[in-house]
Amino acid sequence: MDDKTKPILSSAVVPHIQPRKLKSDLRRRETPSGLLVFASSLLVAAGAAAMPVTSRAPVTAVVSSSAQGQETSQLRVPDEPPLEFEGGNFMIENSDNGPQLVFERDGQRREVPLMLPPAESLGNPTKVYYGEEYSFILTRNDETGKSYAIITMGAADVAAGRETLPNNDLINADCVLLPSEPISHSFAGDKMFFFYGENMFRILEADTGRLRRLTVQGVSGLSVAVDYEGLYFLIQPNQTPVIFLGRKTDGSYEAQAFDYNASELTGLVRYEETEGRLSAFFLNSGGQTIEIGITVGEEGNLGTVRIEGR
Amino acid sequence: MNGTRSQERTQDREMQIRTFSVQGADGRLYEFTVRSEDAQLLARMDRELNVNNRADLLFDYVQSYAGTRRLQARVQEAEGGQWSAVTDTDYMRNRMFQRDISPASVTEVSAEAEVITPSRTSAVAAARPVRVEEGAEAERHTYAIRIGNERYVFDFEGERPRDWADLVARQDGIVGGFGHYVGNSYVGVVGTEAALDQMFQKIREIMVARGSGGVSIEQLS
Repeated sequence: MDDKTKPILSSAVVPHIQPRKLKSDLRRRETPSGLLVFASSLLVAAGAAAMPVTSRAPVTAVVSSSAQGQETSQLRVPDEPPLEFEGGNFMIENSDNGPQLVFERDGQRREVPLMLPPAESLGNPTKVYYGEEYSFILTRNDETGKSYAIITMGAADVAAGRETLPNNDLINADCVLLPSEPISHSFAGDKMFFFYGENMFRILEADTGRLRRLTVQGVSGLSVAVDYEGLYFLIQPNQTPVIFLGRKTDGSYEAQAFDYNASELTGLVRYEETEGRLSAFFLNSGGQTIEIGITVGEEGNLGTVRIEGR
Repeated sequence: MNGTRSQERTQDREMQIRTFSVQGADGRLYEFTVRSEDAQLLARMDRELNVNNRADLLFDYVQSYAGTRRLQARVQEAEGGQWSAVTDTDYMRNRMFQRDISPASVTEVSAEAEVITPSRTSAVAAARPVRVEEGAEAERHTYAIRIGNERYVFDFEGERPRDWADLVARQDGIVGGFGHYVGNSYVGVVGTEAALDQMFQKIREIMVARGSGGVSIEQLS
């Protein structure tokens, strides 16, 4: 195996997984252990609030004076192939007025200009992930050392004519500052996972905009998050190659680990969905390829998850 | 998992791997790695693509078999000397077909075999609960909103504001970094406080004029 075909999921390589089919019916069920599968989008009561008369607290920071009176630049997202969605193509295009979400189908075209801070703040986009429910743009500002994850709309809402985030009538881009630079990340469904090593990771929830810092024994900088059949799995080459992650009804997280004891797993080669199962292929210390399969029953909850080594 | 399938999976399997270097008609270099347990299929690919120089058949093979157990493929794109964008087959199909890239030439660069060794099913233990610790996190969001042809940018802490009324109600969430732009230019309002006051004044005026907190983007634009 030459350098170009070595295990694909090193810490520096970001896996790309296509968004799963919408299975909202699977993602709202409570598991026997009390785990609640992630909901694709929380239905936030968005009724109009009464007109407030509150006064504002003092603003404690000011915008950089260097930008004052100067032309600012627009973010330019990297070129990525569009996402196929219901017979159309969904993508982000750069225009003179900045990036815009675009959905094209049968000669019809919808454009939604993204409302973004200037590129001077966000830095340079490094990666774009298109999803059916939500999309993400990752940026890094080399001058400030800050990285951002921008949550924006997915193909379904743009195709349906929405101009702002789901359950929101104000914004169509939520730029979330990452408190520290991750080793690697995964796009899985409506969430971004950022891995930092030493059991620590962060989850950015697109529906709420919440960034949660979690610690789970076994999660590493080599972990990959996979959304399979509406459930979330963390896959990593170590003694705990599969961790199922779920959110309880109170919003907190819960995890179940599956240990592998037959040999030491040293690398994750790849993963794939085939024949009704999610297969993860690992290398062990003896150089053998070990497959661990994950199946999820019709009920779509933890009680029906089967893990099999082969 | 039925008994038959489990029994089948106790057998060693050999996966043949072929790597092809592809010069795209767009001038870029791509690399396909295909895997299959079907040796005949791979031999046919080798012969057509490499020996018979039928680069044009590459996509036929990929389209026909990619994503199936018979043939899995991934593509890496060489840009700036770096191999990157390791992708799955769906992504590859998007990239290759929607960009309408025709392979100009295909060269086989490696051939190898991967033996998938069975391990005892019992090697994977039953699920065990594992503790999840959630640490406190100071969340900082940056939003841009548009009022007419003006754009306001601010840093916000706390739950994402849902609409204009919610923003006004929770304006204390604005913690700093406030900016005010007309078109692409920072307009240079005197002091951040003044700019912020100006923004909320506009929002309130429009909301009062509309008589509702449910003001839409269109109404404010």
